[in-house]
Amino acid sequence: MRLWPLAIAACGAAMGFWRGPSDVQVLILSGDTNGNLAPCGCTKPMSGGIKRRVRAAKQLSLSGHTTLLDNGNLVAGTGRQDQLKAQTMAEALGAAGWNAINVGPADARLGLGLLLSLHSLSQNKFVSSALRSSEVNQYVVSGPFMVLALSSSPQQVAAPLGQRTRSVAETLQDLVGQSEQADLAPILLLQGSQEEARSLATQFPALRLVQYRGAGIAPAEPEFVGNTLLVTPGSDGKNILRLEYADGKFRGYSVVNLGPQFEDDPQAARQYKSYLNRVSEERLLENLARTQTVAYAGTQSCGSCHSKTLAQWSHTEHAHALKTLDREGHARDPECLPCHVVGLQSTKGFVSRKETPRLANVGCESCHGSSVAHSKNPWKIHLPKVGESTCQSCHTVNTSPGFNFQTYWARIKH
Amino acid sequence: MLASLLLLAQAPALGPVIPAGASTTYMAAALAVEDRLHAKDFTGAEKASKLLPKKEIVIQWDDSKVPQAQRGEFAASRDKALDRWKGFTGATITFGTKSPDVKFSFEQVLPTPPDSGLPSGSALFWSEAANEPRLEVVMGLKRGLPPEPIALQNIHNEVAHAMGSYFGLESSPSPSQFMGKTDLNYTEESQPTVMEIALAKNLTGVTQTLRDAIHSKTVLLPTRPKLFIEPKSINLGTVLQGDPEPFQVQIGNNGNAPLAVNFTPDCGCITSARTQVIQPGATFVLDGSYDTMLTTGEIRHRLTVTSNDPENNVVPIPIAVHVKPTYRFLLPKGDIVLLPEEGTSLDAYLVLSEGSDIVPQSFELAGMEGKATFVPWKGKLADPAMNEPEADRAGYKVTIKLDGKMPVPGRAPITLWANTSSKRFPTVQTNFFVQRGIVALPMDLYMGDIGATPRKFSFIVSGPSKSFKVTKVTTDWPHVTFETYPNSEETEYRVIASYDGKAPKGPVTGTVWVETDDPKQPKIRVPIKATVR
Repeated sequence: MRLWPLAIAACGAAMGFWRGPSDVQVLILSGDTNGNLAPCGCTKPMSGGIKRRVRAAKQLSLSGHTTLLDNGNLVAGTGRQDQLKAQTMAEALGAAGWNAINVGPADARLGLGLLLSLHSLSQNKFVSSALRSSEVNQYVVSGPFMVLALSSSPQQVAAPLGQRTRSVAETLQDLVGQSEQADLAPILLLQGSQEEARSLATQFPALRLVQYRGAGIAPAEPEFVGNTLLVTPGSDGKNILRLEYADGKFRGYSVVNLGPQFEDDPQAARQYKSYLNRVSEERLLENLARTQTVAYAGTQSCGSCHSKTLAQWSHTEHAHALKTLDREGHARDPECLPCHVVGLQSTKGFVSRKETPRLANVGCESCHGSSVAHSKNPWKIHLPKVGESTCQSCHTVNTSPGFNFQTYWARIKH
Repeated sequence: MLASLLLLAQAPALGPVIPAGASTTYMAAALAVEDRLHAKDFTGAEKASKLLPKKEIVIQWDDSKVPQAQRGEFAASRDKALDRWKGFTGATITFGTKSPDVKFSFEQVLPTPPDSGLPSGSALFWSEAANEPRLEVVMGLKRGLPPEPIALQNIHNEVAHAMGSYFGLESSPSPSQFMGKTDLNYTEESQPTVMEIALAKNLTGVTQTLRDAIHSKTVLLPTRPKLFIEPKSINLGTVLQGDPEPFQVQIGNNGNAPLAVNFTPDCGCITSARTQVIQPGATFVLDGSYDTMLTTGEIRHRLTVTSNDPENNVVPIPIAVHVKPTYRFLLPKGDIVLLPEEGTSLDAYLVLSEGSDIVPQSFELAGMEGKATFVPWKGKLADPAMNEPEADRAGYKVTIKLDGKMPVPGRAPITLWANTSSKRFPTVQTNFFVQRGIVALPMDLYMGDIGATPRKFSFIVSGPSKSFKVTKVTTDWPHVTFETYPNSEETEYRVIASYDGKAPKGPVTGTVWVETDDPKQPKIRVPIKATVR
């Protein structure tokens, strides 16, 4: 006997409903984006990106009954591009209804001025429970939850902001106690390791959930320490977590990979485009720090002798690497260009298609290094043979997650 | 000896080896046939073979609940998926309502499974009853949360997945491939992978072999490969960033038939064999590695083992590793350096972990004129970014002399770059900033998308080398007013900008002028950037 008519019947005659009783709270967790605002776009399918994250959060939310949290570390660095990224991320999360964003150590390193800007752009959603000042929220109440946010080493957050801090234990003792009095379920966003999360869950068993710092993928199953759920969506913004909270318990833990099944959210896409415009307008590409190196001969020069190899190269993706950036709107993005042209970080390297067309795209010297000396003395000076590690300087985990040397090498073998 | 040879000659042949990637449903059906063939129950085998995928398939397509106007486009999407499967398997597909093998139908929204936040996009129901279709597929006309009308691509993808399931392929979590399954409203057509095509052809061959055996009344020994994996998870412990870190997994076959195994890492950073066939009683040692070069810190990945063990066909092996960075640049006085006009010098430390092969040959500066010299160094330093307290460390002390040439006051990034003798790390670098005079932090008043609601934004005006006064803050954009709050030393002012919510729609181009009592910087320019929507 087949079971499905029973299953459908059990859900009532009207099929046009989905479960959404008012006592169910959906919890969506993100964090440790580390500046990966968008999937790189050079290999597909890529995961992650703020445009997909916002779309996914909207799709997976239960209207009026959803708490969206981010564990911070929006960016990894402190440069101007990191600042622009952090502002874009804060604005996108705030506009999409995120309820709380932890101030991660990396966010704090951007400085107080930038943090205040992020706090405003996020519609005042940043939380740092241990800070003694009131620059950002000490906690946030959303639905049945009291959301606390900490770094396992609060000094890492306080010092770059010029602030004073309480200890983790003192902070949690105070705030977890307050949450119990208010009959709220305390949730902790922790910029700390899994081990530190375990330790805090043991020390403060009233904590209902601890989101710890992401590393690589999200675990397929959540971990319990007593009644405290320990979770992480992993790093680099590739996944979000979705849970439901009902009758004082969490259920329905799912890791949602932000793959191409999620269309771009139009509002987040507009904000992202605005970010790219700012990168271009502020001429970050032109202002890139470059080092003195020897000159590059250019790909076409190599072809004057290695004509067969050049012809073969011209049919590879490497020969059209800049087009990928054009398509994705990153043609003036200094983070992307180094892997799509020759010698971007050198004073003698790629400047623009117009000024240095022979250094556009991934050419011979991208992998083999400058060939000027070889071109002048081809019989005596040889270029080094390069291998897998050279490929991996660009085909990294984040930019090329499906990279496999054997199969990729087969495409460009020469 | 002769007797054993005779016995061997009389032993029944082993059934066809089912490839890795077959579904448990398919494997159960194939083994049921083999069991009966082994028992010489050819009638039973014939009956059991009804559960195997057929070569001539009848599909019932019940679109009575689909709005009339959409039926044509639904059918077109369906046919696109069916045509691909026909090509891969050589099956013929006809439509009808009499004894269908696969039935598709639609409901408005399907129920939400207990452990999912989403209504099911489709539900597959297998039946062993002779008077029911082998597979019945119910699709939701709305999917996602809140439910939206099903995109046409999902018709294609659900049909592709369902027919793949009928042909015996296991589902995949990746929605971009034919066997991918998602409950979301996915708007890209899935594509078959080479592995899926090969698997479908392979399974078609297995099914045909079993049918031929029934037809020729051949006794077969059921194929029951049995997967054994050790360890069940891999923890590489703490390793130094640099070379690939090897690991081994022992895969054994305790069954009676060849075990076909596929290995699928979730990341290009993991190398491993891709496929392996392990004979009964044999073991295979998988030599894999994790490339530690790419990321430091706590890392979690997964290697998925797919096999033709009917009871254990998908086994994920978690991989954990803590990668310790080979080198760290430490700037004990912070990464913002105040730059007086006569120039300045600062110390940076290239700290190397034990086992590092980095030997710097030269240091360069990019972004500002200056010189960097270096000497071997040992001492105590903290590493706040890695959450490490003061500890004994060793490496190189780099003394940087900046000549003070800075065209305008402000903050500029500097890159310190070392050329090294290491093959894995030929260059290592860090960034820091130099600042002269009073600067606005951040350098612009960015408000993003604003609208008809008043909002507050802020920035800081900072001149840490000496106290100063902000005398006035003005702007040429009439929709914002300012308040200023100094810190106790008057080296930093917080400027609160209040937007009135009344600006006309469009991009905002304006400037804030912060006036100070510093004769060298009487006015600090802060651009306003926003879009009113």
